[in-house]
Amino acid sequence: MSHFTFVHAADLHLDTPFEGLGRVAPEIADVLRDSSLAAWDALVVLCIEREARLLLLAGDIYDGEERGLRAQLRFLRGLERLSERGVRVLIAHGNHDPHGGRWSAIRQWPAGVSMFSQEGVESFPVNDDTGREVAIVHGISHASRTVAENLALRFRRGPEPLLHLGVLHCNAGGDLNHPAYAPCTIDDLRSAGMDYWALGHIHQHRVLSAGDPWIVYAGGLQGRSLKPGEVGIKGAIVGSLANGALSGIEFVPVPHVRFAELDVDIGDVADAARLLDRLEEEAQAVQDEGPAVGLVARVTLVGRGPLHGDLASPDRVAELLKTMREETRGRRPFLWWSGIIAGTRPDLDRDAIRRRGDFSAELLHLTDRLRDDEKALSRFAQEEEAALQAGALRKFVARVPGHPSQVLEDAETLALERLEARSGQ
Amino acid sequence: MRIRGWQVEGFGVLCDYDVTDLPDGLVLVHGPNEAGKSTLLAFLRGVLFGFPDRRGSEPLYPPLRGGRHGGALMVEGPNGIYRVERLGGRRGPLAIVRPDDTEGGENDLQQLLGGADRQLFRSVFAFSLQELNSMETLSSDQVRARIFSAGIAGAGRSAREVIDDLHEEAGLLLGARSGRIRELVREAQSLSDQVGAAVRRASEYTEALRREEDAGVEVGRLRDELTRAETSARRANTLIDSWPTESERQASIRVLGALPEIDSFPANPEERLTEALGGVRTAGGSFDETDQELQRLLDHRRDIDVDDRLPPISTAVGGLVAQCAVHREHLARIGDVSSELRQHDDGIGQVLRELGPGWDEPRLASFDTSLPAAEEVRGWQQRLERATREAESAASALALFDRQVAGIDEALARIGAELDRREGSPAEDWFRAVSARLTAVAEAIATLEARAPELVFDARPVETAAAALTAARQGWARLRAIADDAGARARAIMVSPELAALQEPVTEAARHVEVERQRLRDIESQEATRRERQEAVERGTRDLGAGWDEAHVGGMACDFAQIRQAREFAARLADDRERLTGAQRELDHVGKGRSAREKDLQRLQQELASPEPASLEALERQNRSLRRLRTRLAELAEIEGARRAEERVKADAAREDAPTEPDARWLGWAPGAAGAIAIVVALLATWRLLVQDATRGASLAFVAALTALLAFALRFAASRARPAAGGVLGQQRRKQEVGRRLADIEKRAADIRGPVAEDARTLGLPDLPTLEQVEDRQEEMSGERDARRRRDDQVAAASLLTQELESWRESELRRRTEHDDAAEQAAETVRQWEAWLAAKDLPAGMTPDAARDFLQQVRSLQARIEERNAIGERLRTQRTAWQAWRTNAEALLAAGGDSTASASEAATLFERILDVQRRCAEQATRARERKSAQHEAEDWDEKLARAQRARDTAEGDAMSAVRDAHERVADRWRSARAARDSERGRLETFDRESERAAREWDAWQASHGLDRRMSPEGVLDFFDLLRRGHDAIGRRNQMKGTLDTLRAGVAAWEQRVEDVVSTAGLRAPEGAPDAWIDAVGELDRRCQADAAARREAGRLDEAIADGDCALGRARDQRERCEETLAALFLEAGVSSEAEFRERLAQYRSREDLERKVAELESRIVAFLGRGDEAADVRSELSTGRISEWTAQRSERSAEVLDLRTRHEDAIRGHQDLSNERRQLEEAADVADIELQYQAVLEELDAAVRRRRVVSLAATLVGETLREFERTRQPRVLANASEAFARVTDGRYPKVVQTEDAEGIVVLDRLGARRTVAELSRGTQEQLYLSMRLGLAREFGERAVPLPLVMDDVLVNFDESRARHMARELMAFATDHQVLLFTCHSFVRSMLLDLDPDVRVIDMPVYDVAGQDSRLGESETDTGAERPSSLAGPALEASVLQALASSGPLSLTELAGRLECDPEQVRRVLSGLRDRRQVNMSGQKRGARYALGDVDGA
Repeated sequence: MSHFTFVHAADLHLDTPFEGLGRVAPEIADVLRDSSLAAWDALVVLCIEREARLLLLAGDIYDGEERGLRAQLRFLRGLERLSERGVRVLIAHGNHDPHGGRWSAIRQWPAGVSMFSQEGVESFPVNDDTGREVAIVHGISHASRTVAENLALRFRRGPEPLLHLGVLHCNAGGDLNHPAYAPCTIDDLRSAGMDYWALGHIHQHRVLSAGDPWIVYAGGLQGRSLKPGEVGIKGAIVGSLANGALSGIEFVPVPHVRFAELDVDIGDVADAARLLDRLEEEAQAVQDEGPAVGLVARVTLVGRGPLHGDLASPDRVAELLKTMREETRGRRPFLWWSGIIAGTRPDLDRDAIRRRGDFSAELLHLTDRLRDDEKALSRFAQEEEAALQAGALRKFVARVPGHPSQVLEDAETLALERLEARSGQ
Repeated sequence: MRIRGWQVEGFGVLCDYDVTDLPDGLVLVHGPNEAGKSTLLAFLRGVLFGFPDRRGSEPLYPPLRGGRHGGALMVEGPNGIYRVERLGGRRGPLAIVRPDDTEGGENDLQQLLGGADRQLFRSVFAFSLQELNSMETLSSDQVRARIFSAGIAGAGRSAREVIDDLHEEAGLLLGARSGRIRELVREAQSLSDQVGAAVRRASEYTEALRREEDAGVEVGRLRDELTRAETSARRANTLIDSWPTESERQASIRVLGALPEIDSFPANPEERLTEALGGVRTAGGSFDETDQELQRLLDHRRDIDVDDRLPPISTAVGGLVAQCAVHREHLARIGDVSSELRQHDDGIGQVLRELGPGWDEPRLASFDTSLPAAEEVRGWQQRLERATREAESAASALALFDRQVAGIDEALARIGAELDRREGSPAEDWFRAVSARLTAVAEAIATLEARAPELVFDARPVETAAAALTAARQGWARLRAIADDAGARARAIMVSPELAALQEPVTEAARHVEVERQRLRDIESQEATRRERQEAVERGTRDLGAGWDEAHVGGMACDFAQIRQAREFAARLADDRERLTGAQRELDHVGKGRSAREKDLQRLQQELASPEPASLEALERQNRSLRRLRTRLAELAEIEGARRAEERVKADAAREDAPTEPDARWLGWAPGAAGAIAIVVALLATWRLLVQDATRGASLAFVAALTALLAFALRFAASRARPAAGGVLGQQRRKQEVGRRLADIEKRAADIRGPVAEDARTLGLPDLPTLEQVEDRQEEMSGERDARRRRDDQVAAASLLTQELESWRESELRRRTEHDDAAEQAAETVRQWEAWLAAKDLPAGMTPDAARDFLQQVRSLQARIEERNAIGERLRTQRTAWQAWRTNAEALLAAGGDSTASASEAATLFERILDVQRRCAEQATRARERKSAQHEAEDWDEKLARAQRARDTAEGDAMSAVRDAHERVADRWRSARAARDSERGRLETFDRESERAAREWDAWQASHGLDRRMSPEGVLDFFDLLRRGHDAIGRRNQMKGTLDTLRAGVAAWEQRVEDVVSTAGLRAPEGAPDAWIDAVGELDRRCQADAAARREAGRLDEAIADGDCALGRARDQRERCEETLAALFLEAGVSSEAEFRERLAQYRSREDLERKVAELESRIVAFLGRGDEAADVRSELSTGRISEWTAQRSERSAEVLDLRTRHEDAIRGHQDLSNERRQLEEAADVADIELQYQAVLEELDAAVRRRRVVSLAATLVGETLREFERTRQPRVLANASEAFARVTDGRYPKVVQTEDAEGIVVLDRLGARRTVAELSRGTQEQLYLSMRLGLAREFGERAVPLPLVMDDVLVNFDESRARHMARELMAFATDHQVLLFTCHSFVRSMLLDLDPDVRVIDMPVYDVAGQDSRLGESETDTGAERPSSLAGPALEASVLQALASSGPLSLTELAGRLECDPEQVRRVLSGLRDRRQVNMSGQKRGARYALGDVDGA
């Protein structure tokens, strides 16, 4: 009986830079640096273990063509292992690694590895383990970093009575959280007549259509930051063919470094020790969700409670963060606390302060006026922005968003805290 | 916080000075000069904030009268009274005891003080006259902040500190040249550059890969060449190194061939020969010694004799001897035991006689006198005694009970009759008497019941009720007098109701007098200001130039954005200029660089025009030819040397061509003949030995050996004589050999000369050059090589220079383009600027800076116009307000009956309205006083009614209490009497029990056969006699058994003696017992002698047997050694020791040579190895062509060195390229640096966000602060103004800040400003005191009210103002505690006049000598107008009642509760304490009193 299994992955972003993690310990930095490559190795192992005959990579193998040779060679070694085992690998380029990019370390691709053209949709037949032709894979690559064309419209199912798979790096369904490269609709994809769409570009696993046809985003193999799209479990799709038809698909996580944002309300947390216990529990719950090399977590503390006083200054927050890191040093799988966002609020009753009619009340009246007067607020911040963006600072500071209303909220809280603390002394 | 007292242990003149129970309100501390008032002030400050130390200038106040330096304060906080104790020094130990007696600390003190620090307390709350008059104490920042920014940030520090903190944090984040943000930006820029560099490196990967492959190929080629050269050199080396070994091996083989053949020889021959000879000698000696010892033993054995009858009985005899002592002891004890037996028989007879007739030995033995029987008798004895005793006690108790019942019945009846008889209002003494009698009855009942009296009756309710009745009656009487007095006082006050009704509106109008006065001045001032602003506007408009008027200025849009745009244009133009200048500078620099390189290139090209030297490749070829030539010339020289040597050999051979010596010819055949004879003789000897003819065989063998030796000797001689004896044939062979070698030499020389000529021609030398010519040529080539290298360097430099020049030209072109761009950009900016000027309607040609200044001027002018307009608006408002007040004031004056002020001047109007206000205030005060008096009278009436009701209630309560007490005692008696009646029956049962016990005893005696007349004690004595009889019978029976046992033992021993004596063949003993013992002794001696003889014989027999065995073994050993020696000789093929040693020497020589040859062979094999190649080398080695090998080695070595160097260089190059390629492959720096870069950006984001928040927070607080200060009139000044106005009787109605807000001025009635310096000293002090009252009040509202302590601050005031100030202080004291120290009687009198209730403390007075002559604290209440109708016992009773009903109370609380004078209460309490009716506790934190535990309490 013939056997045919394929694996679909995308958005490897090998040697990707990590954003928003702050400074990490050297041992953690080493793991992070290799994490995207390790995830690729795990994908190769998955293909071999599942005896897959076909691997579809739907774009964004690299984060950019200038990335390290290390990543190219690691990718090449993985392809060679797959080639030795007869696994066919079909690659479509995405917006991060458009067709024609430099593959300086790879002068010859291993047998069985093919790239889809950027000129038009290319089709490759694929055999099962008995050598019988079982599927046709159609695909197209991005020609540049910004492809605005709806590439899905170029796909057409052929007359062969086989399984037809489409490989495309695109923004299907108009996801506003991602750049609209190669935009298309679900109907566009349906109308192409494919049995399975192997999509890339969205980094979280999604099934846009569960059968007839299958339209699936595999998601990335390794998160890159603490943004919503990068957290969660990463992995690849494994599909099997039974009696000439696609019997079903399975999302298989691969071991990788997890990213997580933990929100903790300090309202019911009595002290810092309990907070540490609580965070440990939350982190453990995330790690228990799937295979992980380690977990990089950022904590957002919210709410009002007795702990707010301990978190009132950046120094104290830094001290707490240091303690958290000390507590989890040497854990396997590792747990790295990326940072703490102190979003807690002091236990200040603003209405009561307004009724007092004292200095703090006057300050609240001033901030109330500023909330309603954007121009006045801008004037208040004008001098500060001029200082912040003077000379060499402009290049780096200008990219830091400063929402005036949020800054006003935080400044009001800070001023009130200091004033009330003084008056309480 | 309130000060409740102090305890000065030692502080200056003060010593052991305690004051307690300080009240709220005003307290006057009065004392003459030097009494210690200033010291006390310093003490109060010191305890709270630390005493001065030697570093400061303040007096230290050491304890002049002893005691520890320091003391304690009792202060009352929100939770109760704290004790604050401090001892010497600023940081002296501070001890705080909280109200709950726990230990406190600085925090508690801070809390009590509301956060006030030392300076604030000293400036505002505790000060002397001198400090009052000093502005310095009020000018500290903290105090000033309180005056002018009161309440800005609560009771703590000002908002300015918050701003400072925020600015500090913002500065740390971003300073002018430093700060975290700048650090992060620098780091981010550096990392960004590093990322770019790393990416560029990665792009060179393909080229690196190709270079590495090319280098790998070159390495392989050189490796092959090197291998070949090394193999050749190694072969030559091997041959040269192996030749000495091979030569030695060949020589050893030749010596070995000359030695006789010995196929085999015994192993370890020397050791085995020595061992065999030694064994033969040792074994012979041992045999002889053993034989002699055996003969000696046999002689001794024959001398020993023994008796065979004794051994069987020796054991029995030994046992009998051991029992002899026991036998003697048994004989002695038989006599003793018989005597004792007779004594015991006599004792038994004596006991039977004492028992009397009817008693014999069996009855005696059978009677039971055991311990249980005796215990039974004792039980009877105790039972009989107890029954008798209880019967007697019961009879006595019954008689006493009857007497007590009768007495209690009578007492209760009498009390009941008294209660029925006394109704109405009996006195307290009557209640106490009844209570005492009831107490006595209760005690009687309790005695009857054997219980505690209080369980029966508690007299306290009765006594309490009685005391309450007395107190209620006294209180009622006192209140009645007070109520009457209050009513009379209220009726005496007269009031004008019209003026009183006007008081509030007139006061309100008067309160605004100063405001209106100020308003008028403000109107005037603002008019001036408005005019000034108007002039400024006109001046500014003129300054703008023609065509500009106010409307134009007002209509011009001139905001900050436009000024900023102008500033930006200025910056852009400056940037453009700078950029253009920089571009021009760069262009000049590049032009100079290009020109310099062009010159260098021209110079090089001129140098390169000279003829070109040979190439390095050609020179290298010549060099190789030269190296070969040098090697071949050396080889030729070597060949020439060999040829000359052969020529010498050939000449020697020609000289030796002469006849040989005939005497030596026989040496050629003689060795062979001798050897043949030796062999024949040896065969004969062998045959003879085989046929067992040993003698002849040995002789023949000896002859054969001698012949063989002769053969060897001849051969040796022949070998020595062979050269000489070689003869003609040998010479001819040598000649031929030499000729052949010479031919070979010539051939080799000819072979070399051809290549030599070829190489020489290549080098331009003759065909067969000399070595000197070759060396010269090599030197020439070295010069040519240097010239070639210089030429190559010049060519390379020219090429590089050409490239550089091209690069500089490109750079110049680029710089020129940049310069043009900059110029164009600058022109564009100028165009934009001109367009901007046109759009703003500004004159063309104006520079941005000028435009910015112009705009700022316009903006400033606009601000002035706005300000002028605002002043005008304020003026209108002010005038309207003034008119409204004026109308209202005139109406009020008319209503008050003063219409003369109508239409008068404003100043007069103000005076009138103030006058009316004063009159209204007087009437209002009277009205309030009358109303207050009426209220007071009504209050007293109400209290009187309450007291009436309380008195009636107390009477009823007292009677009810005593009736209840009587009833409770009667009830108790009824129950007690019933209980005792039931007890009577129980007592009568004791008689019956006594009789029954006597009867049962008689029955027991009868059952034991005893006389019934005997008491239990007599029966116990009878038991003792019986026990003595029992003991005598037992001891006699025991003696009888002992005697029988002894007699049987003696008979048995004698029988055993008789048996052994007969066995030994002796006669049995007769007569005395000692004869038996002697016989046993003799027999024992004979047995021991026989046993000793037998042991000696046995030992000798064993020694003889051992000697026989040893003799046999020695004989066998001797024979074996002899056989071993013979076998050794046989194995060696010899017959004697001498022959053996000779043959052994020959064997050893041969063995050494063979070993040496084998060793050399193995060394050669180890060196050359095995296999075909080794065989080839071995073959070559055997030829011995050492010179040829040497030449080969030198040539190959040079070649190997050269190739190895090149190969290693190539490998290093290849490795470098590999490393470079591997680094590129493994380079993680892009990812690493990216990670760091992102981390820094993250940190930067956080820092920027924080900076924005902090900066905005600081701005918010600052803006609020400005607004707050601008809009709110400080309350401190308002309070101070009011107080100061009252003190100065309206002369100075207001205190205001100076313009710079740094000081204060006062306004007089006319609104004129007076600085502080313009005031008299007294007025200044009044001002400062008013300020302090305002500050203290503000602090109290914001934090906690602290006590005000002042030292003689009123002395510089005139009488009127002092009285006003005293009123202010009293008013202030309603919600603050005020301690006023003074030495002046008039101050004391004035205060008591104003308020008779003022507490006055007279300070102790010390005599001149400083001895303890304290009068003690004497607190007097000179205004003793307080109602105190209670006195003496009545007051004591009230105090006790209050304490009983409410528990512990302080003196103040007691006085308040009883509404009595505290001093009276204190005196009463003192008396009660002396009688221990009252206890006092908590002296340290304020004394509290409670009821004591004394009689009657």
